[in-house]
Amino acid sequence: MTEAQIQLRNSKVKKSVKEILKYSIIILAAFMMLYPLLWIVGASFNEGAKASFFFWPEDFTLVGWMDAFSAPGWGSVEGYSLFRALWNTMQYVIPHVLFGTSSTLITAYVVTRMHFKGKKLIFALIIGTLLMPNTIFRIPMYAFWTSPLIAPLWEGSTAPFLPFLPIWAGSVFAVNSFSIFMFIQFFRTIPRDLDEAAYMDGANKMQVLFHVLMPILKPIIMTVALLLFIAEFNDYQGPLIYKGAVSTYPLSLVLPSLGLDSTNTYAHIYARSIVSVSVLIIVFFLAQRYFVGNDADSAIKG
Amino acid sequence: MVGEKKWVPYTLLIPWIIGFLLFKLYPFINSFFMSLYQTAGRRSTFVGLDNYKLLFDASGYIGEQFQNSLKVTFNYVFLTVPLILVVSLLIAYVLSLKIKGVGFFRTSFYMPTVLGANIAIVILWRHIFEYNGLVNQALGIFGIAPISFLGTAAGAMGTIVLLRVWQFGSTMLIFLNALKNVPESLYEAATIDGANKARQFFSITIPMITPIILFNAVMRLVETFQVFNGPALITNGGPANSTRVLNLLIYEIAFAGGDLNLGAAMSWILFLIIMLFTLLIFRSSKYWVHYQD
Repeated sequence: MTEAQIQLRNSKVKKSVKEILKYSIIILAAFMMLYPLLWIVGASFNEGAKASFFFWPEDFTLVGWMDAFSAPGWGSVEGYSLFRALWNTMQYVIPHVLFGTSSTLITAYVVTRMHFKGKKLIFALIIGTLLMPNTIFRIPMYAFWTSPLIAPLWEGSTAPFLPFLPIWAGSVFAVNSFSIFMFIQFFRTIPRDLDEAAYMDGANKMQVLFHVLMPILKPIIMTVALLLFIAEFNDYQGPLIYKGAVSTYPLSLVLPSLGLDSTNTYAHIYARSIVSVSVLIIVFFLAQRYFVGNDADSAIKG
Repeated sequence: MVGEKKWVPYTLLIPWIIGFLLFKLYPFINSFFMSLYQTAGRRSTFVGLDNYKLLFDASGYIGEQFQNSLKVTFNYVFLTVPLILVVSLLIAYVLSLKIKGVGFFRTSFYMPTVLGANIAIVILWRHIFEYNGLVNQALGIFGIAPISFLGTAAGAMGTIVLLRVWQFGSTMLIFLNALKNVPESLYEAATIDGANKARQFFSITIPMITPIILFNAVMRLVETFQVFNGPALITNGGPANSTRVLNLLIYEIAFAGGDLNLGAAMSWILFLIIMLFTLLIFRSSKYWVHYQD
């Protein structure tokens, strides 16, 4: 072999070593990231004590899954089940996502596409509140919602959605500055020619938003809705502060209360945990193809 | 726009305006007023800055608790934020190289972010780091004696830090997007000049994405200062208050304990701390953030 050939071979070897290294690192990292999530599935089929490191169950059992949907250990609360807890969760997640997405979309549209006095001020306030920690609002809002005048609106209410009003009410009024910010960023990438052409045809502002821009906005709407869904579904402090009767406990209050006892084993806890996160997984995969930052998306944008 | 009615934008902004006044401005101001009062039974009396004095009087029980929580929160934030930034940037960088199945890996790395904050997974995290948990079993395979993660101050802090770092997905996606926007021509020019990959990463990639590093750092800082779920459900502030972060102490004093006034004073201090650090980062940015134009 000539020297040039040896060099070429060496550089090829070096390159494939690099490739193997790159993939080993990323596969190992992905495996470590996902391992707890895989392990819990095996553990939900394991009888008795905690499942071992290798997630294949040692003593196979279905009892955790068969009991998963019954009353989670407190049969004294009539009609209580995991489905009930899930429905309680959805009673603040659904309004939060629907109102939160639409109100912040409209706000961002007005701020980026209309001209009016005070626009700069409103824009500054949106960006300014982006960094305001929620903690500062929480105590006065609690005092507000539990005050004698306001509390009867929601406390102990039996209507759907209403017992959870303090948790989702803000979403009606576009309080999520981050969602507005995401919409603003996206509106800025859409050329104004589209709007202008529609105005020529006699469309008004709302028609432009709903008929002309809506198809383009679909990915960002799905992304904002998905992020709101994840954040609200996982919320713990809100339901904890405004918790009512046990029958209104959402998943985030039911799950921590499940301890090991004569009726609950690890298999029970993990089966119920999987049911609770499976909602997230389903919604995530349904919305994922719209998710901004997707391959297809970046391919189109070049 | 010709013929646009003046009232249209204002009408459409009514929800936001109500939201700003009722859900932001009112509670912001009111929490400060609340912090100047003390409540006994149904009577509130104006006490000036007494609540704040209580918090900074290290000889009292409340002051001791509060100052411990400040220290714990700082430890948590200054461990978590740099770790999230480094891990998410590294993974984003590897994903930005030409990788087969990038969609699969991206979803894998994002999954803990979707699920990780869920209460079910927070509880799972506790089971994983318990004395007979998954991690100690894995260490046992290599003959390493079990470690009491939740029984020691450092172990408990490490456990809740790791739970948050595990959810680096959204930071990673933002970095990934930024990496894609670094012009290819810069790398080509550097390759011709003989710069290797590592050199290119530190001399081109990092400077080009400093605005995004700034954005991520600020967002994560504001968020991690308010951590609650991990310390509340995994360690319950223990052992010996070593993970009793400020937001957990505020919850215990204001909501579980019913002292809203003292809680309001504490949340105002937390607010001022967050603002101070945000300001410091922005001030420092002129020394390390490169804007293209």
